[in-house]
Amino acid sequence: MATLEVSHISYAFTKGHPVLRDVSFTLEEGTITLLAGANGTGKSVLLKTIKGLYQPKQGTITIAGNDCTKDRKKRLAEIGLVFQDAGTQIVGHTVERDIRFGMDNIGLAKAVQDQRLKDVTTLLHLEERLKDDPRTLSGGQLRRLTIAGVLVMQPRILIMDEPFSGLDWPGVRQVLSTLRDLRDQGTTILIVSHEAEKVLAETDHVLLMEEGTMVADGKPQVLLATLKQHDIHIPDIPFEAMTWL
Amino acid sequence: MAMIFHYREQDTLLGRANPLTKLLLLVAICIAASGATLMVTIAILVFLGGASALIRLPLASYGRDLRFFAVMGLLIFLVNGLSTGDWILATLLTLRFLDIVLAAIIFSDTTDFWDLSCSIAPVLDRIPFVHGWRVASAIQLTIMLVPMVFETTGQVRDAQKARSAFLGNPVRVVTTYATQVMETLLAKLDAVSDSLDARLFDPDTRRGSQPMRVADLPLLALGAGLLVARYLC
Repeated sequence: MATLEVSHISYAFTKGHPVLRDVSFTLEEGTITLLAGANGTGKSVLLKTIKGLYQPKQGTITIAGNDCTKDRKKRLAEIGLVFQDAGTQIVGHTVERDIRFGMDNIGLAKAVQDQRLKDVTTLLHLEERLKDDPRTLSGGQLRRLTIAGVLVMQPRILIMDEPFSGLDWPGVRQVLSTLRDLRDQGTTILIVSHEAEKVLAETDHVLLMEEGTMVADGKPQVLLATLKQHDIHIPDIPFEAMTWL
Repeated sequence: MAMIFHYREQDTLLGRANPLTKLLLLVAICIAASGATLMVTIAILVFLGGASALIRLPLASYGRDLRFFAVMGLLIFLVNGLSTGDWILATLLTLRFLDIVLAAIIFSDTTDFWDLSCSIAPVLDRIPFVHGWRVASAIQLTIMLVPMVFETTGQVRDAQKARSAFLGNPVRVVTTYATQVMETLLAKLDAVSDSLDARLFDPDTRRGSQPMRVADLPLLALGAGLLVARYLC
């Protein structure tokens, strides 16, 4: 059974100007999927619609076999979304406080919070920074903090919008390593990125959007030529060589 | 560089005190300072200076933001002095202003706004027709956004300086600057709203609050003492 099934989703901000047109795709459990496409193709709107921040005009969104199209709260709970701009997601004055924010919102008991905090910060190598101000973190650490803040809520699916944006190469490697660890633990991950070459080697599945529709859906090795045709930068090296970890 | 009006986690008496206690003390200081004599005003300033030293308040690193308050203080001094001719009164008013600003800086340096709102909410909830937790959430978010406002104004100012935007008609310069700040802030607030929604933030959620302890009593007594001094002296 697919973890996430999006079927014939459409969305428009104003009547007559659809941003998403009949979008359909499936995410399998424990996989990393890359959603690629040029600017303005509707990727961010798609993420927000799946997440529950926007309500689709048509179509269905099914999570683990349950139709959640009309259940916005369930989508908000089951899907974790890490936005591109880390600065607008940080609400706590310390790393620990920020991570606890989401758990406070869902009313978890302190003992449960403490355990999840320990598990997630160990996984994301943030355990030594709990008392620090988030503004003192490096780009890669900040990105991992935003992931931690979402992961502690134990979403079924993790979506990340431009996770490599603004990161230096060590930061990119840290995020890639984290994504690989999460996938190996069974987390279903959807990534939107213009920097396809950085994440292709770790990707199990690629989706390509153009003008609000899905134009390609398949394995990364199979879609390399298609991605290049749609101006997605892919280096001229064998797919097997595109591994950075 | 440390940011003004920004919480720092610290293991000090003020850092550990109940947020409601600190809020009451802040209010008492502001009331006392607003009408105190010169001697009481100076005493409050000395006390606040001592408190700043104890918590190692990084005043020097607040840089440009502190300059704003220094300029305001100077304006208060000059305007009152020149208009009344009473320079002692002008000094008094300036020191009162500095008292209140320093008290607010110390308060925000030692108080986590989440803890503060969780302490205020149960009190507000007792007032009829008031949704205490919703009001507390509004306070939380407002305080959380203050550093963002400073950051945004700084970013816009730097961007405009880089384009020599401050040369030219002053009215146009100010209008352009203000418009840019508002647009940038609104875009950021939109993103903040989405990220709060994404983490299931609900303004009516009831959260745990820090209890009052014996250690809070001296601070409460200090606040009461200041109010008494204000009205008796």
